[in-house]
Formats: sequence, C-alpha cells, structure tokens
Amino acid sequence: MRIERESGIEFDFSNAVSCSKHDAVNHVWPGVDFLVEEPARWIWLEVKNWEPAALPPRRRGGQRWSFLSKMKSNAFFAGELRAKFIGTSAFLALTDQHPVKDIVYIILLESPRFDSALKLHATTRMRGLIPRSGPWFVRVEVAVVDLGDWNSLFSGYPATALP
Amino acid sequence: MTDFPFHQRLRLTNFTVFDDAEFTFTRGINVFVGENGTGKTHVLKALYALQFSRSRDRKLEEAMQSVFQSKDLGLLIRDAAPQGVVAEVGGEWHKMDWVFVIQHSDKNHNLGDKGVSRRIKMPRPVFIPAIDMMGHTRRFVSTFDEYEIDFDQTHRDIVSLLLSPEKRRTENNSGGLSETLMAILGGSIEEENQRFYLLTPKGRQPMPLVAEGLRKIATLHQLLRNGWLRPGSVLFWDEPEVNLNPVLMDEVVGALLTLAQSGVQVFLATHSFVILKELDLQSQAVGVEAAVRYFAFARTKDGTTIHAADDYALLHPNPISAQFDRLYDLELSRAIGTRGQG
Repeated sequence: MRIERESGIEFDFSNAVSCSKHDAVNHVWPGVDFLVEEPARWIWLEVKNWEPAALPPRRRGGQRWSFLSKMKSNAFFAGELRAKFIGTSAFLALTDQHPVKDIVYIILLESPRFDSALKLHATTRMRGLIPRSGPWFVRVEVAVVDLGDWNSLFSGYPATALP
Repeated sequence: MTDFPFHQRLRLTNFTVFDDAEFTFTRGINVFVGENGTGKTHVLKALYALQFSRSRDRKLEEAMQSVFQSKDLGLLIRDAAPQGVVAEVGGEWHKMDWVFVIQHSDKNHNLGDKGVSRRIKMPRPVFIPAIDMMGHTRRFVSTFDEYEIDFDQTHRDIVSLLLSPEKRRTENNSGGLSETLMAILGGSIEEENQRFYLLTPKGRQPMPLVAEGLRKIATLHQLLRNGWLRPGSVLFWDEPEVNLNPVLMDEVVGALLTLAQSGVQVFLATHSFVILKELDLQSQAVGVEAAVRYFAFARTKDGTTIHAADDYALLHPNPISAQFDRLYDLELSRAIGTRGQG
C-alpha cells in the first residue's frame, strides 16, 4: 500500500509504477506535490483543497487573507502553479532525472463550489502558461480537476477527502 | 484543397476606433474577440463592403454607405484623428493589394477607391448579421429598397441570398454538412411567397415560429443548398451565439470547421467562451486546412490594438478570460472567506 496525504485528501498510489512526494525532496525551487509514474506517462500532481475543514488552523484565522490573496487568479495561475511546474522541471534537470515519458500536470482543486465552467477556464488558462513541448521533447498536457474528476479519470489511484 | 483566393491582410489607419491596426488572416477561420465597442463588427463590415463592391462591380463608396448606414463616410474617420487626416483601409486579396481612402473635403466626405483595382474580382460574400433574418424574409428586400428603415445592407443581402434560387452549378463539397444540419433541424426547409417553412414529421411550421437558434442552423443550410456557401466563398458572421443555446454551439462550430475545410474563408466576431472553446478543441482534430486564428481587440488610449494568436490559450488580452478570472476570484472568496467578509 502506498498511501499519501495532502491538503486533507488521502490518495492510494499502490497501483503506480512509482510515486514520490516531490516537494519533500525538492527544497530548491517550488515543486508539485507528487510525481506519479505510470508505464506510459508521468502524472505531476498538485493538490489544493479549499474545503474550510482542510485548511490548516492558522489559515482559518488571521492568515486566511494572505492565503486567499495567494490563491487569487493571477498570483495562483501565472505565479504559483506555473512556478511549481517550472521548478519541478528544473529540479529534475539539475538532478539528472530527465523524464522520457509524456507528462500530464494535474491540478486538483477541491472546492465546494468550483464548477465545470471555472475548471474549463482554469485548464485553458494553464495551457497558455505551461511550456507544453517541455525541455525534454516529451508531450506536456495540463488539466484542472476536482476530487470527483480525479476519481473518475484516475480510478487506479482512489482519493478521499479526510473528515 | 484548391488554392482559392482569400483575404490575406488588412490594415486600418484612422478608421473608426483604430489608430493603426494590422491583421494577417488565415484562409481558415478568423475569430475576433473583444469588448463591446472595440471595432469587431467594423472590421467585418469593411471587408464585406469591399468584397461586395468587387463582386457586383458596384461603387465602393455606395457599398460603404449602405453597409455602415451612413451617407456621411466622414463619420468613419477616427474621432481622435486631427482635422484633415484621412482614414485608410487597405489589404491584400490573392496577392493583390487594395486600399481605399476616406478624406474630408470642404463640402462632404469623399471616398477614393483608386487603389481598389477594378481588376480584382471577388466572389459574392455572405454576411450573417447578429439579428436573425431567416424569420423575416417576406417583403423585406422590397421594403428595404423602398423605404428608409433601420437595417443595413447586410440584412438586405442575407435575405436576398436566402431567397435566391439554387445555383445551377453548385459544387457539393461540404462533407455531408447539409445532411447534418437537416438532422439537427429535424426536417427540411421550403420557401413559399418569400417565407420559409420548416417541414418536419409533425407538420409545416412558418420560420418565424421556429426557435431562433434553429433558424441559424436553417440559415446555414439554405445558404449551402442554394450555393452561396461553397468552396471559395467568404463568410462573415457577427456573433453566431446570439439566441443560440450552448447545446447547439458544438454543431455550429463543427459546421464552420467543415466549411473552412471545404475552402470557405470564415470571419466571425464572438463574445462566447463556449464558441471559442469549441473552436479550440474541435480545430485540433481537423488540421491545417481549417486553421483558426484568434484576434484580440483591446481598447487603449491610442485606439483599438490587435493581438493575434493561433492558440486560444495564448490569446492575450482576452476579456472573456478576464471575466472568468474575476468569477474564479469571487468563487474563491466565497469558498474560503467567511460570511460577511468574503
């Protein structure tokens, strides 16, 4: 069993070829949460949970507004999410771990009210921000999903929101 | 695909809201995106007027007046332009340059089309205005010709094209599009005494009673049937999304891509994210024949500026995307912020 937790969501990555908690090893640049290896591709997974219960206690109080401003569209899409992709790419290049498989960058945004239109927009926005050919000549795709989408699209790696 | 002539370039100087704007078009689908009042329809109409005059051997000045509904073409010179400055609209069609000039004179405003070579012969263009005309065909042309009414030449022309008989030699190269559109309509179209009817198994319904979204599908179908949309045609469509339910938008975009693949150059202005996203997604499966180019019309202190991209995700500035960003931020605040503080 390979169970991982992030932002109040528990993932079972037992079916993956390999899985690493990338931001636990990459302290150099911003990085995505998980690198999940499949036979034909990599899933780079970034998890953000807006469910109030999932927010760290300190962010429910006075720091909530700094968290909120960090998550605002411009800072979040063009800043943080793009930087995490670039930072992960740079770290892998620096440590000589060039991916030879295609990459799908999944941003899991769990929110009580994040609807399809906003997910579609967020995906489109991210497509314009991510270098999709990548430095390694592998194909890069990006998608913004919620927990339901994740379990439907990646049923081999079931995820549940922790109470 | 045959190498049909098409609009390759356009340059607008001191024209309406444009100080100096330049476009390089694709032979496929050219999509104009921008806030209200940034000049999208002006571009559609300027190209249409030019092409209409060159297809009918009419004076460009008259075409501009009737398309822009203004006897005084001086109104088309940019307000911010200094007195005495001329407006220029120029472009390239099939490797041939054309230009026309609107200038002030003491008594009136003249339009010089010396640059629009009489040698250039263009196919008759099709302009589908934002207002549906399929349900308003009876006596429209004669009324327009007889009276001063608040419709412009594009409304008259589309009615005229819809009512015209089928062309004798129509190349059926639309990849089964007519059949697809008929399936969406659930029947066929017939015309009697200048009024269209939708014939379905349930009966014969006058077109004014048909849902307006379906009338748009019927418009495309009729233009295909009577041969005005065929390889080599140019289609201008202003806001196809008006009164169109999003469930039909994938069909409309599919139809546009099929037309582009068959050799129809398309220009459309839209405010619809669904139309844009359908184009973005469907065009990737179609290939280069139906290439899509997006043009962002951005209002600046120097007039409207143009930014082009072949990938919708790279279009910037994009007012539709900006609105979704705003909604995203509101949703974020609602999700994370507490009541009364979000």
